[in-house]
Amino acid sequence: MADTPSFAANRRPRVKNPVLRRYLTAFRTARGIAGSVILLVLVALALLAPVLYPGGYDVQSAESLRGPSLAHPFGTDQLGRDLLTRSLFGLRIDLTIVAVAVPLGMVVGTTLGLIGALSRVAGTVLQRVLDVIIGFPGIVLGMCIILIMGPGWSALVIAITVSSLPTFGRLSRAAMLSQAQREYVMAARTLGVSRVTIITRHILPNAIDPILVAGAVFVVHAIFIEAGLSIIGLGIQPPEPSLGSLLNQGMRYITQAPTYVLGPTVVLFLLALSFSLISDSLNKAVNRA
Amino acid sequence: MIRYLLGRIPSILLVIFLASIVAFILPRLAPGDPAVVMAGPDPTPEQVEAVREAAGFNRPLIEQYLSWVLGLFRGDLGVSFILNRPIGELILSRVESTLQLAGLAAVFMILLGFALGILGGSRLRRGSRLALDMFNTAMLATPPFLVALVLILVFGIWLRILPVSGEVGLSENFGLGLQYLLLPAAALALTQAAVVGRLLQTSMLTTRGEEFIDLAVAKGASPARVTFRHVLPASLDAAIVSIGLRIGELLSGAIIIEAIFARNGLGQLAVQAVNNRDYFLIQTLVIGAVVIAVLSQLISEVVMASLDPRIRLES
Amino acid sequence: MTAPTHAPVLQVDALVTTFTTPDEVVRAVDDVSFVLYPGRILGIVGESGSGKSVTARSIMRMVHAPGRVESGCIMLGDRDLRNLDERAMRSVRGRDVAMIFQDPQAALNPVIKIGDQIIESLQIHGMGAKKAKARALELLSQVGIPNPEEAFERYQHQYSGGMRQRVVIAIALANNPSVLIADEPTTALDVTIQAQILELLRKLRTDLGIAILLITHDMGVVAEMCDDVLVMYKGKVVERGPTAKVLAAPEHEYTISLMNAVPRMDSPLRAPFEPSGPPALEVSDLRTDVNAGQRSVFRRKAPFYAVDGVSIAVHPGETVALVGESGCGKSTLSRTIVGIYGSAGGTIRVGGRDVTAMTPADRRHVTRGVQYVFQDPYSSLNPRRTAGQSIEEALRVAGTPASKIRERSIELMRTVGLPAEHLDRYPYAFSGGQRQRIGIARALAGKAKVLVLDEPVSALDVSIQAEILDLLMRLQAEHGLGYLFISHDLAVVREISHRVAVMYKGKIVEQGTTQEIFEAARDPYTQRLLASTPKLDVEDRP
Repeated sequence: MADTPSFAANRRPRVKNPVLRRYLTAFRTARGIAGSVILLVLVALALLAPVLYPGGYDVQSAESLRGPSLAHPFGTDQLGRDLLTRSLFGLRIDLTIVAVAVPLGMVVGTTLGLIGALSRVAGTVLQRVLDVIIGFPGIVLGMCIILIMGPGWSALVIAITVSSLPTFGRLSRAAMLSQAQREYVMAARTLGVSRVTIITRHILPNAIDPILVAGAVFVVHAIFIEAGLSIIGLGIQPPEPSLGSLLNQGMRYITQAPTYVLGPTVVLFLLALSFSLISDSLNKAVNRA
Repeated sequence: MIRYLLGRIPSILLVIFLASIVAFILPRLAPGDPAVVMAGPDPTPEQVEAVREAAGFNRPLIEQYLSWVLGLFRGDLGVSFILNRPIGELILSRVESTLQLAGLAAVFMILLGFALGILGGSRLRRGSRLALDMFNTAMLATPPFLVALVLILVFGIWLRILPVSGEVGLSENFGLGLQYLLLPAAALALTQAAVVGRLLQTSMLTTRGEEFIDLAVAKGASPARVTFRHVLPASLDAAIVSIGLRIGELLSGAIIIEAIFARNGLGQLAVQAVNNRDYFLIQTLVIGAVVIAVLSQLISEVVMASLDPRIRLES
Repeated sequence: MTAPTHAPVLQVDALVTTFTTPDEVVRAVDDVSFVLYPGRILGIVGESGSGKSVTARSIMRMVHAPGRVESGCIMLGDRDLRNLDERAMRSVRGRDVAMIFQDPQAALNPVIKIGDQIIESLQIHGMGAKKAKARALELLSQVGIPNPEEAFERYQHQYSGGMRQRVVIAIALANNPSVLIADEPTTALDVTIQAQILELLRKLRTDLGIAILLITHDMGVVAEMCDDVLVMYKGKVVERGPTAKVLAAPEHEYTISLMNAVPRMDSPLRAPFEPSGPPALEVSDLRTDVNAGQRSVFRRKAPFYAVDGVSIAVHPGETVALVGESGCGKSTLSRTIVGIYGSAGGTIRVGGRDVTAMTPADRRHVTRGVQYVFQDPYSSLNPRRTAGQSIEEALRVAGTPASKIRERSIELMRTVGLPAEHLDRYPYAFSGGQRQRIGIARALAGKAKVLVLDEPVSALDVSIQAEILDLLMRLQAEHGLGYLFISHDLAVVREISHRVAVMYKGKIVEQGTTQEIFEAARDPYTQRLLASTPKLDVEDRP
């Protein structure tokens, strides 16, 4: 019997569905707005890159290793290529990797967690397998996978997906087990609702919140893995640019052209920042209700 | 407490065992004949066969695995065929550099993480809260190599007060070695410190909502007393566990940081091994990384358990 | 009680505390005044949201954000607490005014030794370490903790709820405060433990002459404890006076309706029930091992029978109450009946059929015959589905043809007294009482003959509780439902049941008609339960 006045009952929300309502509140905070605006701008630029620069990322010129100017806001690289162009095409690659790898990890991890929640034996096995994956820090795991597959786009996707499995698998299993203890699930059981319906209609929708938040957090981590592997030369290979491989190139000229790394650094930071802000506000919104 | 530790041992051994299989199998899944790679440029078939024989690649996989693992237990880590040196010797020559880097980074991470967390978990004015949150969010979005680049640009190229490339061992020249170590360790630690700080902040703010904090206030305790005697000790669990997990991240971060600052540590050795497809070296380094990561998790669990009487006394 | 001869210790005048939200300013405490004398117990009684706890926190200046004490004075002796700076206020907290809380498990720090928590409150107010330790041991024995020396070194999780609350009281008493604020001090405790804690508080009042401000929702506790009482409703004091007068002859309409809603231990019993046929639900010698299935690699946990040889029967149209304190196994029993837990022995029969094995066919049979209503109406409805979706799911599972589902949902909503348009609302938009009605409608969807009601009114305010009990009795009369009514509250049980079974440590210690149990209990545990239950009669005070 809490004796605090209930404010929630006094509100008249416009959106009635509680799921949508909660997610919407995330994007009404200053952080949520900032994060989604930055992300939208970056996505738009990445999508428009081929239109803005129809020549592609490999147009060379004689003006190599120049600092920022009006014609080349980020400067040029060792082959005289425009670094803004290369950064935007690199952003495209990074976004595609993240957009494929993280949802894939979420789906696979959640499915694994679901299986682990359904059967005690599977749960124990899963726990051990995920423990093994956790033992491999992201970059080490990436190096092992690159060793097998050779460096490139698909190796990065797989490395990111696999290293995301412990996060999503453990989280979804824990969330589902805790939901399964809730009284409304017991209520459905006593009504005679089938197991499949209980999982799909009752447990999964209520367990999805922490998984979504973790997804947004993991995007930041995924960006770090891509860039980290590319910096040590094991990621996307030249001449194709990724934000990490641009940094790898820039590192070599850091004393001659210190501004080389600035552009890709800013883009990479903004990309990570946008997801960091979004995950923050999503987390707050989800935990408020 | 002891029983708690004993209870964790089987699963830890299982994880290390499974990881050793993975570390053993992975290099062998790579395309191409390892013996050809190892035999050097343009080998004759006889040379390849000799390498195959010496490396034991013609024996059954299980036998190869067992001889590797039994060797590990005897302290015989094997020989790198590419570098033509015993792996134990290779690792020993590099380990000091990485240990110094990761060690100093861990100290930075814990100090800064706790400072950020305690500050964020205290009652703050609106403005300070906003500034702290913004700093924390920005740090979380900045990977170690970005911090490294910024530090290099600021301290090494613009201000020119600290060296940005190469290293000097602390045992040779402590002062100079520290100068070389400062920037890479800071770069490695900042992001992780933000993670630790954010976790500690969240759990401290949650603890503040508990009724036993109200009771402490009702006793007449001052805000500082409430924070350090009641809120902080009851909020350490998540932060300590995450420190354990972060140690693994520090090691893998070291791979990149060593590359950026041109330090000759284990990370550089690992990159080299991958580029050279030096199978024996890779499998040994991987299992070493896993063992360290698992042990640091275990240590953090033990620290947590020994701080919490509910776990310490019950199990 | 004699009229107060001392000067008041605490005088609250025109206190206003507000909570500011983006949408509005809520006056949680609205112009509240009262006087507290040494050696007296003043009760503040009200339902949830009445502002009684906020009043207590306002005095301590411990209102949580976004709350704020707006105006009024809080005179402690000749000092107005509102005018003190924070440092001076800190020296008042714990020394002059102390507080005890509802849930002692939450109120004690889990990682600090009990003794150190008591010493802390002494040292904050300037006592030396040695003296503080001696005083802490003295306090522990004063509040009735056995082996103070040993308790000193222990942690709260090693004690039961009643012992924990004694420790909280010891902390509050440490500096001999002149005022003790007790915020629902026994709400989280079992009734027999409640009786002990209330007795301790009365004794301390007499021995130490301390003034107690007792915040509670329970009229029985008021009747047993308070010299005077304030009744609060929506932030305002609606009635005040000596306890005997307010309880026996309330004047304000809210107090009158409240007193009518409180179940009384002296109201007339329900007419005895004569079964006309075989029982709809029959359980014999049932055992449940709650450790079954909890295997680890090394050892199998020893079986623990939370239900240990229980026999009970429910006929259509009959209410059988299952009474017991927390941990007695009553919820385990009810959950075994509907197949959530497996049974370890004995039989369960529903409508004559043995369903103990709980095969899929048995389960379907149980579902059709027995339905379950949960205690907490907040967690027993899926927050992501509308009331209509919850009820429709129950109808669909029960095999209602698709064309009839909407029609039946509307009918069910009417049956439980809710308008049909509420079908499209999500649970957050309902009050606790309305949610419980939806829970009942859902249980009725399959036309079950027996409802297992697991503490269905324990989480509700007393006025809502009375409405739900009325609804249950009406439904029973209309549909001939049998109820297995699980409760810890003897007054509620007395009002609704035909038969009562008393459960203790997994066994039924006594079973009989309501009259037999309440007027001629033979088992010592039943007698203890009855003696511990607070009566509304002030004259009858222990």
